[in-house]
Amino acid sequence: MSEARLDKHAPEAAEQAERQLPFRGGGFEPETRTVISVISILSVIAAWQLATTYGLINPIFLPAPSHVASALHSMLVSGELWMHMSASLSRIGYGWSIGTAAGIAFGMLIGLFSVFRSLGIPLVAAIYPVPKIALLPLLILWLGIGEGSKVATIAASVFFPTVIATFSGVDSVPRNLIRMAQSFNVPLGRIAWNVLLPGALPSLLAGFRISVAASLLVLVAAEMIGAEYGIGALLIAAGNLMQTDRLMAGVVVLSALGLTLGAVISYLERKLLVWR
Amino acid sequence: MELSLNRIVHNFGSLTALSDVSIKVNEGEILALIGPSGCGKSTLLSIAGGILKPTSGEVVVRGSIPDASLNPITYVFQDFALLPWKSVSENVAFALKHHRLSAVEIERRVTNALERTGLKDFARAYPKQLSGGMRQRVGIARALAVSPAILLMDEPLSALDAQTRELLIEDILDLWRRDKPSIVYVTHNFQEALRLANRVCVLSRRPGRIKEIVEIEIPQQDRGRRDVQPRMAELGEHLWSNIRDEAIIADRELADV
Repeated sequence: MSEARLDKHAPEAAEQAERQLPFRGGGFEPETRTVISVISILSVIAAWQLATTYGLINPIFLPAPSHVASALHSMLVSGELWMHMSASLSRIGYGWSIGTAAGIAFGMLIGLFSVFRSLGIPLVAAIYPVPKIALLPLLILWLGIGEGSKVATIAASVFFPTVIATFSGVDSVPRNLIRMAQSFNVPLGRIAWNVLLPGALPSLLAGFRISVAASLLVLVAAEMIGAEYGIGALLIAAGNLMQTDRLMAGVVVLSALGLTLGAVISYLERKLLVWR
Repeated sequence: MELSLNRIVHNFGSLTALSDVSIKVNEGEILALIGPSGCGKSTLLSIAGGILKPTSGEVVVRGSIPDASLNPITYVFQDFALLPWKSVSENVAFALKHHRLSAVEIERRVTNALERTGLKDFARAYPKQLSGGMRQRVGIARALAVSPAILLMDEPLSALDAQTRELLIEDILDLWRRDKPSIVYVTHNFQEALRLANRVCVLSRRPGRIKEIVEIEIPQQDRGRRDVQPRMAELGEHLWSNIRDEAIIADRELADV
């Protein structure tokens, strides 16, 4: 660099001088540095704790992290947390499974047959943008205020993104692989199971991320509207009694739940997509 | 077994890809189909393999099907068409599993096909771990496993580098000498055609028609001999002069958007 600058002042020397070609960059490659991530999260929590301890924040509006932790602990010890958690987990478990199974089946039909494609895609396009929680009142009329309507609303919120992920995954399977199977007279069922489904799996797993997030959202909303137990019910009850420490504990639980489900999907991606 | 294509016409929309092509594949011969890109040679092969319906014309098979043949007319793909989520041996077995075979018989056919293509040590590897040449060997092993009477090869070597291509030409000739299947070999490379074929069928560019059928009378194993080189060069020049002008026009053509 310094030589290059020298050259500017002495143009006649420039022809002979050797200059190093400057490095111009190797493409942007941002990395995650774990230490920085941990430090930044810890400092946010520390600042929050200090702000409440020194009275900068009114604990009624935002309790200190230590109070949230102790609320979480006491709910854990009393078994109250587990009661809410198990109610929520069973709703999300049933709702997500039903929605996913139906979504994959319908998505495969759209991916395979013109009739279902012509019929299904406009229908999905019309219903997909509707926030599924809007269907809860209707589903309550159909299925009653109990578990059925909540599970059905979650299933509906999972069904549509799964359909879209499945058929676009099937569409992305190279046609040549299907033609190959057909050139060996492989029957349709085996093609669906051995070619289309594995080929659609990357798209399907990406869809699971979306459908898990959607199901969490609808779960909490549905439980806020009418449930005795469940994380959503816990949140609304704590809010009504201004127990913000319990409310925040519920939020922490939801965050942990979302992270765990995300980690499960990442694990599945690593295990099932080794061939990529 | 003989395969005849009778008066094949194929249109893609308003575009005529093949116009009135008739050709017979004799038992045990290697027939090369050459022509510039876009002349419809791969289309013709797909029609012969029953994975594309021609606009008109018919594909007729004559003669008895060998007893052991599970898939008398078998395709080898340019891009290998391997299932990336299956191992090498699973890819080969995929062509067998829907037939009513015992597990032992499937195992025997898979092992045999892998041995013959030099893939025995790669049975558990995944396609992404293999070189291009090895991937196409898997494609060939899969075809061998079903004991074909007629092999349809769609530019099987065009995705490979020159050295690998050379090695695979020898492998293809070896397997042909052993089982004597009929082979229809589509290529745009007239050198490949000269090495492999008994007859070379030259297609004209769109709409594809048979321009000429050139018979190469020298047996495949003698084509490297010094004394036949003048004749081989003559055949090569003849083929090239036949394709060259068409290739120039094809090269300068704009693709439909």
